[in-house]
Amino acid sequence: MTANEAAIRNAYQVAENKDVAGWVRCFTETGTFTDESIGVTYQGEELGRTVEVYATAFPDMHRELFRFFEAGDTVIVELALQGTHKGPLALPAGTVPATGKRMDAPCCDVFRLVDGKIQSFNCYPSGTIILAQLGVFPSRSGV
Amino acid sequence: MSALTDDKKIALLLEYFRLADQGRPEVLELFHEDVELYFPKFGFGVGRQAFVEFVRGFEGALEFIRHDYDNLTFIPAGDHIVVEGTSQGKLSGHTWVGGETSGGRFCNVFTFRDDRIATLHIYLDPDYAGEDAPRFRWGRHRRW
Repeated sequence: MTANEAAIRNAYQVAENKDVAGWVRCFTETGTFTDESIGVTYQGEELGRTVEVYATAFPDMHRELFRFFEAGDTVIVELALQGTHKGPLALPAGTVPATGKRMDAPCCDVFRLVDGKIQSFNCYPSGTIILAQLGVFPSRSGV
Repeated sequence: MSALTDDKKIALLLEYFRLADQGRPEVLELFHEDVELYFPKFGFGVGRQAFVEFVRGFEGALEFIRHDYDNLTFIPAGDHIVVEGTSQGKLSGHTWVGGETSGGRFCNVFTFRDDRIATLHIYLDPDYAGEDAPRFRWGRHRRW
């Protein structure tokens, strides 16, 4: 395993441990996280917000890692986002109360690293699959 | 294993995007007979016919799609090429412009064998135009 793959595997574990400060430390000072399903980019302390939101909504949140690819300082991961919706899920469009339903949604993450830290993290989840699995039916304006 | 250079793989993928956007059946020739396809809500499919079935799911709804060829980022990784990019189009009367609207950003993972595409995994939110009504376009009994 390369150092970059190890760094990314560690970052996933830190997120799974709900270590918000540790998650932020996985990034460079100017590192970014972009949720490509909604086109929103987080930076600085806001990076931890995403871990907090999903840890609150899915206390058993798990990222099942399928395949890793590497090209220089870029690491790509095919994975599934899994968890049981036991807490409020805060989304830009509003908060979804706990449904007790299970999420198991496809995702692909693209990380670009600098000196072992994440400079950019582009996340390609299928937001409406997650909402469909939770039984949420968004309005026509979508998510 | 693929003997194609990264440049040739990228050229083939540009051809894939162009042919797919034009709805031309020659796109199937770029795939192996046993190509594995993954698309959210469609799930997994095997074989060129699966790609045809996948495209049929859009019939009557997709007015046009165009990938932004000049803004595709190709990431070669051995037999794989990952492509980050955006698309624009019109689905069921609703327009999307990747990078401006919520839909239309994608990440594709291609695997090559010999000189053709062996697997294509497409990652995006398939609610391109923020409508969501036809999210079970291929039926509910799919392994997502």
